[in-house]
Amino acid sequence: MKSCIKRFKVVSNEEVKENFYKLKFLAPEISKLSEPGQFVHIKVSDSLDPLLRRPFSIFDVSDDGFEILYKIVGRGTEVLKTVMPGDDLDVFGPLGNGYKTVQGKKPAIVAGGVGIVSLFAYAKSVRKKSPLVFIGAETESNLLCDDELRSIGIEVFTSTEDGSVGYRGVVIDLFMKVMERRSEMDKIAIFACGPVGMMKEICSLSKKRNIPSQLSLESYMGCGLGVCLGCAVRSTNGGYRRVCKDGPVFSVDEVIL
Amino acid sequence: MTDISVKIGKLRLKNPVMVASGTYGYEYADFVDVSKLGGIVAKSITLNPKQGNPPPRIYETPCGMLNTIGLENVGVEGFLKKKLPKFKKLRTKIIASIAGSTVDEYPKVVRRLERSGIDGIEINISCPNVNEGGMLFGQDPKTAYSVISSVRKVTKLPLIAKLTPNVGDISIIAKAVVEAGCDAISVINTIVGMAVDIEDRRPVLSMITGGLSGPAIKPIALHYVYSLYREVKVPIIGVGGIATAKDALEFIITGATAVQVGTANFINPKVSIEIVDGIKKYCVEKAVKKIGELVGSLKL
Repeated sequence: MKSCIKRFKVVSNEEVKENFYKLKFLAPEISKLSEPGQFVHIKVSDSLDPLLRRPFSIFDVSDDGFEILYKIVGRGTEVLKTVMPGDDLDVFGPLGNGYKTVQGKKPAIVAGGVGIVSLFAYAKSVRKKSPLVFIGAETESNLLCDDELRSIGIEVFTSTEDGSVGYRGVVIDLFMKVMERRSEMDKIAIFACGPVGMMKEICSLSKKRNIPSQLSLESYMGCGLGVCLGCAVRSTNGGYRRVCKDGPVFSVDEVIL
Repeated sequence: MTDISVKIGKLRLKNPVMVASGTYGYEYADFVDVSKLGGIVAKSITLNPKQGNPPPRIYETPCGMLNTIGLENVGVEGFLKKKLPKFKKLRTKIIASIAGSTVDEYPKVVRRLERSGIDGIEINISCPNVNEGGMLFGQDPKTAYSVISSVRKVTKLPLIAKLTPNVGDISIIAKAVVEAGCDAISVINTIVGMAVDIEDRRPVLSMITGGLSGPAIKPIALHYVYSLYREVKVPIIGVGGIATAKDALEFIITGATAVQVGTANFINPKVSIEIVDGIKKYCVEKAVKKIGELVGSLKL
């Protein structure tokens, strides 16, 4: 795995939906090296507070750089949203392992909430395999990326908990309904990122139906390199794995949520 | 020409900057010239492998971080087979850190390390995140004495005792470990702390408490170095919140012969090398010929 630590120039940093921002870096080094599902570790300011870097999924890449799409959730993202085009930030990446294509299986992409930002680039990369993408959110204003994926010909199913758009309910229920109706459960590989409850359901479904699933996990992180052992997740072999170095994408049989 | 090499007992370091246990690995060699470091203190090892604590293990606080890793490690045999060969390629001094849940465990681990080619041993009697041993050994002068003396009996390697700040009077502990035969002391390990999630009214960390590190603890660590400098005859290694050359120099002027950089490595893998360069620059600018001239040069 190759990565670099460098200051990269911010091209744009704009609110795309209420509380969601998209930030683009001019960073050809990272765009060349990165694979869908990997992340970057960003120092959002040169100040001692916030102290640690913050991990962000690489949302999308182009020849000259990459984008992150982030939700304002706390101190780190509050600072990040004030960054202006022309500023530069210390970026470490790409880090971790991305999604791996499963031969002979149709990709079923399941995203809960902001989880779609980890899966967006992967969905685009497997466009020719006719993936099915399921995106769930609490309400319409939190629903991300559905139009962008549809515009490039990807089949997208959406759900909102309040029913403001798409299926009323949680995304895993929508996914189950669609897959059972199509009787395609044995033809798919699941790629998932979302809240713990959703991920647990994907785990038990995958075991029950023998689906080769991959899960992208989230954790507080320290170093991002596997050194501090801060981002532990329980391993099926006993002990713990590191989300930053062994993940963030794990095969469903590697971890216990 | 400025000489910034230092001596910790028999251990000679090319400069006073080490990296602290648990904060550095050979993984960093892909990004920085690790040979420029004075030394690396490896992650603490125990006799048998340890799984460590459940997540969440870390949490950021203002200018600091709490951790409860719980001494996850591969055990001394795993260290010798898998880790040490990679460390040895790094062309800097390698100091093993050892921990135990009983007093007897320490000399057992040291016997296995004695002829492994490591350059020194740091004895961790200060980890706040384990139920047995760890910090408890460093809070009682008699136990601290028996851990260090039991290790001293089985090795001639340079020994550094890493002390906890979570005590009433650290000088009592420091004197006990010096009397037991350690060649240096490193102060301080993390300070016990906690954080609470007000939404679900639970502690943020899995083990309720954790160890606070980072710039938030620097003034406290500095004060411990100050208070011990006149109390003990062995070199002091200053550790706690060092993130810049200025921080490191504060410790050296206050009485530290060497320093360890910890949490700052997580944020900037190059920081320890930058600190080496910054110390050199300061010495040249201030016409300091030997870094020893600076140690304890604090004017009162």
